[in-house]
This record gives sequence, C-alpha cells and structure tokens, in this order.
Amino acid sequence: MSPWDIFVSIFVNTLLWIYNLIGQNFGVAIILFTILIKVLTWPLNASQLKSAKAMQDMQNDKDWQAIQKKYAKDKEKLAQEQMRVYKEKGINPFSSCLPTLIQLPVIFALYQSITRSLASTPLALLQLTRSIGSFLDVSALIPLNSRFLWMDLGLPEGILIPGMNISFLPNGIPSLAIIVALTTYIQTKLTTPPTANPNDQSAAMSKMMSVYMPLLLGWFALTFPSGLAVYFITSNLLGIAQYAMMGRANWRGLLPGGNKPAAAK
Amino acid sequence: MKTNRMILFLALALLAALLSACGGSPVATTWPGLAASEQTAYLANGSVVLAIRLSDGEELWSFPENPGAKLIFYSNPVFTSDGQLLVGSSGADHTLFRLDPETGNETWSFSGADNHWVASPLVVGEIVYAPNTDGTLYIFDMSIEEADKLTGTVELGGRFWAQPATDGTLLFLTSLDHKVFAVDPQKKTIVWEVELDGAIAGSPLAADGKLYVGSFGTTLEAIDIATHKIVWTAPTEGWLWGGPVLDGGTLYFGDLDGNFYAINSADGKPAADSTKPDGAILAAPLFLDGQVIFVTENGTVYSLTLGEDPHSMEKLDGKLYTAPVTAGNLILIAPFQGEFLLVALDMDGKEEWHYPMEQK
Repeated sequence: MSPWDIFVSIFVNTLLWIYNLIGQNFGVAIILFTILIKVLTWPLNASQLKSAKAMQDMQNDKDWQAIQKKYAKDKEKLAQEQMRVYKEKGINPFSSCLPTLIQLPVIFALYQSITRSLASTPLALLQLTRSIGSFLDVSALIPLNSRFLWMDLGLPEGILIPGMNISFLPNGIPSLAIIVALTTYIQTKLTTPPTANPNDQSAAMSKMMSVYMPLLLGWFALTFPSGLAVYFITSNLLGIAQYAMMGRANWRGLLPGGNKPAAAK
Repeated sequence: MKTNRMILFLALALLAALLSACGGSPVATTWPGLAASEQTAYLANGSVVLAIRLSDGEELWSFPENPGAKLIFYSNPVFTSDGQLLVGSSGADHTLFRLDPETGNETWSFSGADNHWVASPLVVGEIVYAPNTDGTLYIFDMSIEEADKLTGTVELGGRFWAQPATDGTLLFLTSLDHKVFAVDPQKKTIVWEVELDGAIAGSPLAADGKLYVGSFGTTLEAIDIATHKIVWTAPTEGWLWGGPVLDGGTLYFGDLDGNFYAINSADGKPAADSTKPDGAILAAPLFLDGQVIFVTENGTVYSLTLGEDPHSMEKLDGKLYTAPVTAGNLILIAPFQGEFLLVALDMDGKEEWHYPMEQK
C-alpha cells in the first residue's frame, strides 16, 4: 500500500466509523466528517484569513504604493523592495497560500474516501474491503446505505420534474450543483475586503476567483457523485460561519458594487 | 493582469484534472466481463465490448464505434435464445444493449433503468430477467417484435451484482444488501426472502431443491427452496465473492483469503481438505472434464482433481478476477491490469494465443 493509499485509508476508516456510530447514514457521516476536518484545519484557515487581510491592507499602504510607482520599470528591484517591506511589516507573503496548499491533499483524500466508501464497482468494493480496519465490522457495514434525503450519494444529483425533459440535463434539475455554486460565490465574496486601490492585484484575483471557483465547484457537483456536493456545501457554509465568527465577513461584498470602500464623510 | 488570469485559470484546470484523475471517476475501473460462443469470445472491457475470433485471437469488431466515457461495460455478456449478445452499461449512460454477434451492430436497447447494470441478465427461452442496481428486476420478452419488450418489473430493493439463477420454477436473486430473493416469474411477485450475515456479490446455485449462496459473512449457506429455511452453514476463513459450482454432490468455491473448498452439498461437510494456493479467489470456478479450473488474484490458473493438491497450469501477468470460460478446446482467461486482455489456453494450460492490451 502506497503512502497516499494509507492516507486515504485513514479518511475512509474515520468516515465509516462515523457512519457506523450514527446509525448508518452516509449523508450525515459526510457532514460530520467535514465538520471534523474543518475543526482540525481551523487554525490553518484562521492564519490564511489573517495573512490574506494583511496582504490586502498592504495594497492600500502608502509606502507600498510608492515603491510600485518608483520601480514600475525595474521588476527585479521592485521584487527586492517588496520583500523588504514585507520583512519590515512582519508579513510572510506565502503564508496566505500555504494553508490552501496544505488543504489540497485533504480535499483530494476526502473526495477519494467518499467515492471509495461508496464502492460502486467490483474493484472499488474489493479495495474498500482491504482498507478497512479490524475495529469495524465490515461485513455488516457493506454495502453502505448511499441514500440521503432524495439523493443517491454515489450518483450525480438531479431533481426530475415530470414532463420536463432537458437533453443536456439527463439527471434533472441539478439543485445541489446550483447550491454549491451559490455558496461558493457567497463565501468568496464575503472574504473579499473592500479596496480603494484600482491597481490592487489581489483584489482583482479575488474577483476572478469569485467567478471561476463557483463555476468549477458547480461543475464538479454536476458531474461527480452527489456525496462530494454535500461536502462542498457543508464546507462552504462552515467557511462562511468561520469568517462571520471571526468578524471578518464582508457582507456588503454580496451587493453590487459593495466591494468599494464606504465614501469618507 | 492577463498573465495572472491565465495562471489562475490553469491552476483551477489542474485542480479539476487532478480531482478527476484521482477520484475513480466512472472510467474503466474494474475487471472485464467475458463470454464465448463456439467461434467467438466477447470481452466487456471498460468503454468497449470486443469480439475476438477463437481460432487465432484476431479482433472481429468493437462496440460502440466511437467509445466515450458514458458507456462502461464490465458485466459478463450473455446470449439470447437466438444467439444475440446482451450486455449492460455501468457508466453514466446505463443502457442495456442487444448486439448482433456477427457485426457488433446494436439490434435493440433499453434505457429505462435508473442505475448501473453490474449483474448479467438470465435468459430463459425468450424471456430475459435483468436485475439492476436500482433494486428492480426487469423482465423482457425478446419474441415481441416492437422495441418495447418490457413485460414487467419486480421491485425488490437493494443492489444486484450477480446473475440470477432458476430451478425451472422460481427465480433466485442475491443482493449486496445481504438478501436472497425467490421470485415467481409468472406472477412477478416475491415468494420469499432470506437475510444473510454479509453482502452477496456472487450468483446463487439452485440444485436438488436447495439454493447455495456464499456471502461476505464468511459462510456458504444451503437454503431449502420449499421452506426457505437454512439447511446447513459451511464456515469459511475469508469472504466469498464468486458463487460455487456443483459436480457429483460436491460444491467447489474459493474465498478472498485464498482458500479453495470442496464440500458435500448434502450436509455442508468437507469433501476434501481445503487448499490455499497463492492468492485471493474471487471468480467462480469452471468445471471441465472431471477437473475444476480456478484462478487466483496472483495470476495463476489452477486445475484440481478432488482429493489431490491443485496443479498450477499457467502463471499469467495480471490479476485474475474474471471467471474462466471454456469454448471448444480452449480455456479463456481475461487478466486485469496485465500484459494481455485475453489469453487462450489449451486444456493442458499451454498458451494458444493472446489478445494484447492495446486494442487494435
């Protein structure tokens, strides 16, 4: 078993342990497992948010804007000066993206653990039987109950409306994909602080993220097993709650033009 | 700014690609299904069904003409009474197809099931009994000229991965949800159901008024068909995946721990000591000329005569999960993740030909 397989197996076993504990409801198990992951990665998220805010504030800093203007034509010197200012202000420019990078394997492993647990093919079932620890009564657990609300968590979700046949939506109205896209959009918007600087690159990147990310995750939710969509929605809602609890949610960002700072009185 | 946008887009595209690649998405993800007529072998392998000539291992046709990600085939194809080929898809498009065995052309299809076709249908005369993972048994009458050949359904619930069996009167189905069903095919009703201790991935075997079923509960059970009571239980070391075969009052089957058993069908007592060759045994064995042929995960093809040690006939590259099939004087083996997709052995285990991994 490769180190990656061992990593995924830890996820599978935890997920199934929760599933067994709560009376074999895989949808609730995914939600609780996502909460557990969020709690464990809370410090990382908090530090990411703090760093992102510091970087954002930096864009409005007078020294920062001055060196941007002064060394606009000398990229090498500009980079040196930027690093100097970061050092002076005690900011690590990589600390805002490092937590995201650390979380990426977690997202991949979680996705794999959901699909592996649902074991929709003979090979997947065989692999599952070999990755479950002896502390679980595997023969009683298999097959997992993949029904949750109106969904089969092993299949892409859609609500079929009688008489409504849309050729490019064979599974019906993808309600979860819409919710995933919507909550991702809200989360991205809430975490984008207002900016007054028209040359603020990080704000421009955030703006792009608020378009690309909802589309990307919405597409995942549309095409992959709906268990993943349950994870995305739970994760987004928890993310929004975390920002709100830390008092950093920019609720005005949800409104058109809301990312411009309030006019000085 | 344009560069930043491009970097962001590429990063997200990479994330999408990684997630798709890592996730076991519905692309060829399991071992192939295999069937053979007198002249041709049919391999359900991922996005295609292949017809391979038995005389020389040459490919005759491939279905569909333009394979895509939506159709995935891995259940064993079966033949209708007039020799047409039936095979269901386990992809996002879960259609059951009937193909012309000579050309691979589609002659009929059914797209009304809600989930994957993992179990092979059972053909009894003109009637086709096809269990789906949506928990429904679909019944078709192939003698009906019209495209709509569905004559009824039986809602059973559960996930069906194994081909049903019949004793000529009742139909028997096993589900991953630990259940064994007896269905009256005329009335299209459930006659009885029995719950076992584990999931059932293999087909049941009906003989002598009993139904023999192996499960993940590490037992082989004999159920009296008339009373639906468990007559005897034979314990095993590992989980049972493939169903048993019966010859002369002896049941033969293997388990996931690599044990191979021979037990008396009358009382479930060992007919010979179990043996443990070289790897997990998932596929149902094949009975051939007084010998039992079985395959292991480690790629070995064994022959066994009751009371003797198993004889290694051939060691192949790849994992052997697909049940071996006999056709004419050949034993057909479909390795998974091996050098070849299909290997034809003679009765002594010597290779006659192989079909390469790369489709022609």
